[in-house]
Amino acid sequence: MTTAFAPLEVSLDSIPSCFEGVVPSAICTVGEDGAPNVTYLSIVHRVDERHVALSRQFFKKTDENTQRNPLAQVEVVEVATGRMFTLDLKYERTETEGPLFERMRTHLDAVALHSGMANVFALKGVDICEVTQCSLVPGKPPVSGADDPAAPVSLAQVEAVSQRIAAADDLEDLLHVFLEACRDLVGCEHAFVMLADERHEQLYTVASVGYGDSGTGSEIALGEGLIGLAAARRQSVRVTHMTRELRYAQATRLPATAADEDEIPLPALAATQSQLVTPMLSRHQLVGVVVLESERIGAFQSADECLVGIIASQVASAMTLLVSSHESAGEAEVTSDALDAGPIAAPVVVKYYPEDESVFLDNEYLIKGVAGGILWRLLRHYVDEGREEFSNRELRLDTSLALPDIKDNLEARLILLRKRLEERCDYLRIEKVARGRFRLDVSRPISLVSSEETDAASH
Amino acid sequence: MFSIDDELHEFCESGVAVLIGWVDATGHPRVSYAWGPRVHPDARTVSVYVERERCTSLVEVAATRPQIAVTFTEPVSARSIQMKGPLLDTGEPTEAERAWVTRQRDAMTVSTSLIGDPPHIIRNLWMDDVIRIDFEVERAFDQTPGPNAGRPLVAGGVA
Repeated sequence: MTTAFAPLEVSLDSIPSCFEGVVPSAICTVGEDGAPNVTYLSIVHRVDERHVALSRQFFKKTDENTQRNPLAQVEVVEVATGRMFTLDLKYERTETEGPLFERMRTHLDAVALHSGMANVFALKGVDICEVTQCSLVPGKPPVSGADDPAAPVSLAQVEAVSQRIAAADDLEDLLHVFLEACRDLVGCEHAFVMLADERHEQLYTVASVGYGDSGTGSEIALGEGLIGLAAARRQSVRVTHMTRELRYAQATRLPATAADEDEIPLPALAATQSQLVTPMLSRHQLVGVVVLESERIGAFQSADECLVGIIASQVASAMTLLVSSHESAGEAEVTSDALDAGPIAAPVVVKYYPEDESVFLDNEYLIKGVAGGILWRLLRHYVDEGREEFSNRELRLDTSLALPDIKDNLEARLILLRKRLEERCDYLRIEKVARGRFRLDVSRPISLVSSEETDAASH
Repeated sequence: MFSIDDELHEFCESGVAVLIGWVDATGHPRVSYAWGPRVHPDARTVSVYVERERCTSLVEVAATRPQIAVTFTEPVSARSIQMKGPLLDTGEPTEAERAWVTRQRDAMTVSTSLIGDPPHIIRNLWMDDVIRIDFEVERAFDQTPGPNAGRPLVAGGVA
């Protein structure tokens, strides 16, 4: 008889990819009448070397059986090799709260939300089971090759990234280091950073790498979809086989809905299969999220999630420090450069809607929200006073912008605005000239139209 | 007695993924993949094929006509049906049956590839040496993920 102290034939540590949910696991339990019950499981989570946690959602019979007969067998598949293993289990207890439950609940809720099946996939509990044996199932020789796991990341690599984060001059540099770290440490070529807005109601994309359309300025509400839920719950969510999980959730409404005219689509791959969403927290406050994506199944493993979590926390803390140091910068006198020579091209009509601070260039949507308000004020100063240089500090002190008392967002909004301008036109640019100071470069005449003024004029 | 209607018959033989569960001689539950489900003309008997090397503990208890459970799942839609009943017999597959199993495995590989599973991994899940398991379907259940999972079926419909 196997005891808790006898070593397993195969250690759970040695088969981590079996617990990633890439290939669904099967479970067999025994009923009171001695009849078996066999079904698939959403999640088999390795708790420690002798325990796994099983998600309980719909499995009425499985639940009944384990309450009466604690024995079960689970079969798991190692996706890189096709090897199969059986885990003989003995049910110990069900958890309905706590960190493990919350982590598994967030994962299931996120997938359900993503597929429009919220409230259907509620996690009822997490069954903690002792693993009394883990055995290799007889089979063909393991597949090897392209999917072999990557070499583990060394501490020296992590330290190097850590030093670059600490040395970052400004937010843009910091985000650049962050996305490079995702590529260098995790091998992820497609990633984006979304920051939380001032009211913690929305996330907006401020930096991305590896997408055809950068998605800069795209937004999502906290709690909405997989990304929004990860942010709202401050929990990482990792999906290893998007198509399967969405099918499992009986997806009837895929997320790729057409964006409204004034909505910027999120950065997106043609066929995302793996996604890792990691909250960026500083002193328990949500700063934003980083989203890593891949078209490869099982691209992000548990170790990657830990690594990105560490880096994300460090970046979030660095953002806070950067803001503090920038508060004292940019106080040099701001020049009021007169416009020496007026541009000669046809004027661009810049239309502004105060109700949502949206800005349109020649009737094409550019941006809205705080970034839209900033651009409108910069252009007002430019047109009315001929000013081209500005400081972050004066923007902070501009009460008409109604910036909240969360300092890091101004710089993020300026990055967002600069990137949107680069993507949408060639006649407006924001260039950094010194720490905390920037220049507005305009190469076409500007005609400002506020819908407020238009409305007033028409009355 | 449960009777498999035409729609359920077609579903079972459409290249679905199959799991089989049983209880071994020591009372421990056992699970394995199964392949090539075939519904007999009596609409009550179903054959599936399992790897001989993996299912020795099932063959050991076969003479006692143990209850077994077999779950059929369509990979793309996640529709899933579980059938339960006594094991009737085991046997060596004929060449025609082996060819049937190969076709059903190929069809399942196509289905799983539609949701992104690497075919070379799926093909690595099975072995060539299989034996036939015949069982009588006494009860069937809707096992599709959702609030109705576990609901009994009557003649292919929901009770």
